[in-house]
Amino acid sequence: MPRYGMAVDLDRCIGCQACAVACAVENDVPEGFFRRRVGEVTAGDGPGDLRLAFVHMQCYHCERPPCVPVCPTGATYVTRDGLCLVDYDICIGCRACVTACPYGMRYPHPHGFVDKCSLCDHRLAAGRLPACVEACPTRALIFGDLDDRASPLRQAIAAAARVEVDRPEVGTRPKFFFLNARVTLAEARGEVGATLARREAGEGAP
Amino acid sequence: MITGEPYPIKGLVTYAVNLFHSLPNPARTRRALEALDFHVAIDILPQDHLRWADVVLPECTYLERYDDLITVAHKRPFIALRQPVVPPLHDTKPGWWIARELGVRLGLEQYFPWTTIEEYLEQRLNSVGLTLEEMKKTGLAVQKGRPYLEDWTTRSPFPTPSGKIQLYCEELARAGLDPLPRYEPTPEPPEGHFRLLYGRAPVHTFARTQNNPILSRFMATNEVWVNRQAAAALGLRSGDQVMLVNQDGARSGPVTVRATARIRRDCVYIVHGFGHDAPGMRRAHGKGASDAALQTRYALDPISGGAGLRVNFVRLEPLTAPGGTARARPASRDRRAAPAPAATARRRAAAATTPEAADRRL
Repeated sequence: MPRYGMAVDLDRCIGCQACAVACAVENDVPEGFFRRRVGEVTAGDGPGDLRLAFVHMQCYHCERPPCVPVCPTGATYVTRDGLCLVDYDICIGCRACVTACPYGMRYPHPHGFVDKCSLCDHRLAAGRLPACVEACPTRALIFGDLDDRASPLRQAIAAAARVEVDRPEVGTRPKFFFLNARVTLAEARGEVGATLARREAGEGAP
Repeated sequence: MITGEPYPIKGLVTYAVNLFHSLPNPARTRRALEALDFHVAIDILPQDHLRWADVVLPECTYLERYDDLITVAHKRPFIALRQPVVPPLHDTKPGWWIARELGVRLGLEQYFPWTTIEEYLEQRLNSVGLTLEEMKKTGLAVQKGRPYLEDWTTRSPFPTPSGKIQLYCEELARAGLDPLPRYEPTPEPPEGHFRLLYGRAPVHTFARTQNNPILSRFMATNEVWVNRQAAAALGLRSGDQVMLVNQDGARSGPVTVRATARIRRDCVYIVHGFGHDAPGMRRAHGKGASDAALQTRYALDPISGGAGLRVNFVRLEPLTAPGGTARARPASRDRRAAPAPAATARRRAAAATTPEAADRRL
């Protein structure tokens, strides 16, 4: 059984949102909501010190997803391939999972269920890549099997100078990896307790 | 068009252009359009300049029509075919149909020796040994190109007297022009003003995609980038709303301030293509500021004729609350970050998935 995951190589990402556009179209995401989007953060204080990174926001398909145990109906589940999915027929839209996700990657669909990135499981079943990966013009998004050393995902992670997951301290073990970030996710979020992540971390803070 | 010199221009057909965004000084463009007797606009969107058209001929979009072949003769020459993937959704016609029908009705049928675009394309493709059927399948025919520079083994590729790239040009000297390119400093912004810079964002293409329902989700408006220290000196913070006012009093906005270390202190920057006035552009209407609207002057290079548009200076005019002097802070990010306790769970959840909130979480 594969253990699917994803990564973004931030040395390649140009922040064009083509992945997010492809996602919104492929999955019919209603206006005002996102399964995937890309934010922009900068750090540093001027010439020579400025750094820029794009922050990719989507479900990380955690190995220990906090959204699963809180679901009262079993609608949120993990497949044998490691995808964290929602069964829309069972979901009652209570949003316990929305609250439980420490990353805020789920949204309440106006049709009464909760939705989020499915890694395009319907495309995977047809032997295709997730829509975001296919749409990326710089091949910054990488999909693959974490258990397969030859997979493009494992190779990209092995080749990266820096590998980061979002908030490892919360113990969710995300399967989405940020590679070669020039602004760490911790920097992007800002210091704990501070007014977090305005568009540009540390910039224009009140 | 305004003066009638060197000759009067009475009629105009505009196609595949957005006059008020691709040319500087839309106020002047408007005067030129008002001086016309007749203006026909062909477009796929109700752009700003269509409001000055006597007749609008709505074209179908590029996914709904054939176009002429795209032929590119660069290092790797290719021919590309644009073909319809869906029939037109609305009562619109392709550009080739509009051109031919106008021609026929004006008694110019002999210049259109074909009746359908397929016939026209077939004949063009046959001349290079291709067929429309083949091209419909491949979409593209790439020819083996010649290497651009390596190919020139016996003589120089440069048609100059020396056969070299010329830094010093005798020809220019003979024409009484500066034979050696020389940097001339541009005027500095006056006190309280910033040089207006403009550029692109990868989400949008020129001024023509801001109304796109999907793209506008990801970039609905532009912001004015202001150096962090310069903004602080003006008492401005990220999220504040300002009007941009140029040296000649031209205004555009309101636009949101983005205080950032990514720009020098004497300049401000906006992404091109926003600040649409046309009410028909329902999503883009009134969003952000337009660089073109603030470019009431430009500099022309005397040799090449190239236009320099970054010679305009703007000041930032904070929006004031009605009847007061306090700065208006509409929809500040901080406020949205902390919804009132009374907000319903639904609204909280919805707010948490707006772009701003998602940024904040990270």
